[in-house]
Amino acid sequence: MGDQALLIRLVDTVEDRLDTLLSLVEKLEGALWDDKGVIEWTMGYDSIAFHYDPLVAQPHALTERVRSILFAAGTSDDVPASPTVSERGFGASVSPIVIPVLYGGEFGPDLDEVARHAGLAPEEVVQLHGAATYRVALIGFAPGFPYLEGLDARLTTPRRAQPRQRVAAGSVGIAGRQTGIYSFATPGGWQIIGRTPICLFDTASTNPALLWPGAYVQLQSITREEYDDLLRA
Amino acid sequence: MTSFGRRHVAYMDNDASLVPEDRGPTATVLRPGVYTSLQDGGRIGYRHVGLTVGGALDLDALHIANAIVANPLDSPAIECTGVGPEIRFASSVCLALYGGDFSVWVDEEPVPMGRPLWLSAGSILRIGAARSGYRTYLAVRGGFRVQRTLGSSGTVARFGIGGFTGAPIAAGDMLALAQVCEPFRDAELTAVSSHVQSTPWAVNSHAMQFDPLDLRDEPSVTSLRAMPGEQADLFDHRASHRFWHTEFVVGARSDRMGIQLEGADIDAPGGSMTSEPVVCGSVQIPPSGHPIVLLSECQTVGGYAKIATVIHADISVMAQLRPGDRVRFCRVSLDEAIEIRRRRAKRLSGLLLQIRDRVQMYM
Repeated sequence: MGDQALLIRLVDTVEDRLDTLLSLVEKLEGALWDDKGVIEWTMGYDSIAFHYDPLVAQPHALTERVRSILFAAGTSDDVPASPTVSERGFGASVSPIVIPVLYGGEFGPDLDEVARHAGLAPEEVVQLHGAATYRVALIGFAPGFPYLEGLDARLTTPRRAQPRQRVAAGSVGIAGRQTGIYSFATPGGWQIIGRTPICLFDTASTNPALLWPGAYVQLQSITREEYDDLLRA
Repeated sequence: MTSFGRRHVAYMDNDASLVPEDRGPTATVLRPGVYTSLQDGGRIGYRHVGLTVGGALDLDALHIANAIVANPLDSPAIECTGVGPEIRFASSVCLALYGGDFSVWVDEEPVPMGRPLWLSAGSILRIGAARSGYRTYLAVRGGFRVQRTLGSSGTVARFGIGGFTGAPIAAGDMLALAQVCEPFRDAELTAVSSHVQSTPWAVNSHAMQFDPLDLRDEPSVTSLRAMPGEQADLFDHRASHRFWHTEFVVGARSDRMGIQLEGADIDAPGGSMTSEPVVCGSVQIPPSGHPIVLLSECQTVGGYAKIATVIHADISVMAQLRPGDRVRFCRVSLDEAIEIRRRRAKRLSGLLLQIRDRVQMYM
């Protein structure tokens, strides 16, 4: 990416895209740690960027190193997880993060629309949406905003024809085959079916994001009373 | 936290800058200007959780403004856009302006940019319109007293993060300053207006604009040096040729996230693209065909095809483009980009050292 970052994109034949990318983060992080010029990384849907300072990191050498790591990774089946990454919960063995959601009503104005589109009762939509285990495919759009994959195919709903000027923080939405949670109040076109009282991005914390790429997520339906209690807590 | 994330913890001190609000010197914003916000070196280490780097769009100018008042280079300063604010300082203050060339007055008398200015208590600083460039930085000696969020005071207005209030500077805002600053008695100063003292020297406003590798054959058109982008191969020959050989005009719908270019449509490649990382300098082609050049407050990922990436050394040049300016792209290789960046970094560090030597006796 110009003289600023190295982009690694997976070919579309790769299965387990997310796990492959996460293991790359793991291996490259460990291997590139000594290169002081590598600053941070950004993960895309099937790609990852390592941002570097070319006056320190020597881009050609960096590219070569990444290539050799990738080549080694491709020929090795069993690479132990680095503690820094598994500590953070990257990987399959970690239990899902449970996010409480108040579905429908004033906080889920599009629940009926999603139900109509699916040919289901609103209660069934809530049941299906809450029953799945999701995985964070991508963090983007806003700080801490998770694009969750694993939506029940019956709930697939196109975006709203008219995007809203303001979608409240915590709003749980559906856009096509993806579901997600607005981490900040922003304009948005997703179908909003509920809201969580949980903060997804706490700027006061040094570890601000609740979720990260690869994390597993379960959504738990809660009552208005529980919502208010959690909000006060 | 990953090891990349952990690295910035060392210099994070969210509490260190906490000072009781009702103590110390202040300044009052009388008029906010077009778009004025507190910015610093930005937030590094949070891109993987979706947080933009942000900070000063013209980092070189921020560094020079801070150097002139002997501050740490990444200290927060006030970024002015197009037309600057009007600010009354309750106590005496030492400040500097650097970046785009703006008209500046203190108590209705014109004062120069690019040097430390000592203002007496009660002075009103008015930053007018840009004569050239688009963004300029107001640094005060000792810096501003402001809380840091995730290691930075830079304002990201769309998420309410940073700055004094999470928002751009507004009329009536009280800006807390770290210190009262009066000139040393024996310092050799010259009066640049009835109430303003300054040094006999100044930093040339073009100090960072000269580079033998700059290709400015036509001064009215800004050349942005760029490398082919991550989807460059997906554009057909006509679109690609058009991009590299057309003159664009900076559109009015440009902000801290990006510059929208008009004047020529570039056919976006068909098919949909998955979200992919972007950087400051990425040139995206949305379906409208009007290129968007991303600036430092851009999102972390994007789904539009990227035809080019403006090289790092020209980011400060991009930050100074204003609506109506004409630009074209000039293709360079990675090695050329690094060489240009090295020269620019060398030139900047040389300039900063010179400034440091000059200001030492005054601060």
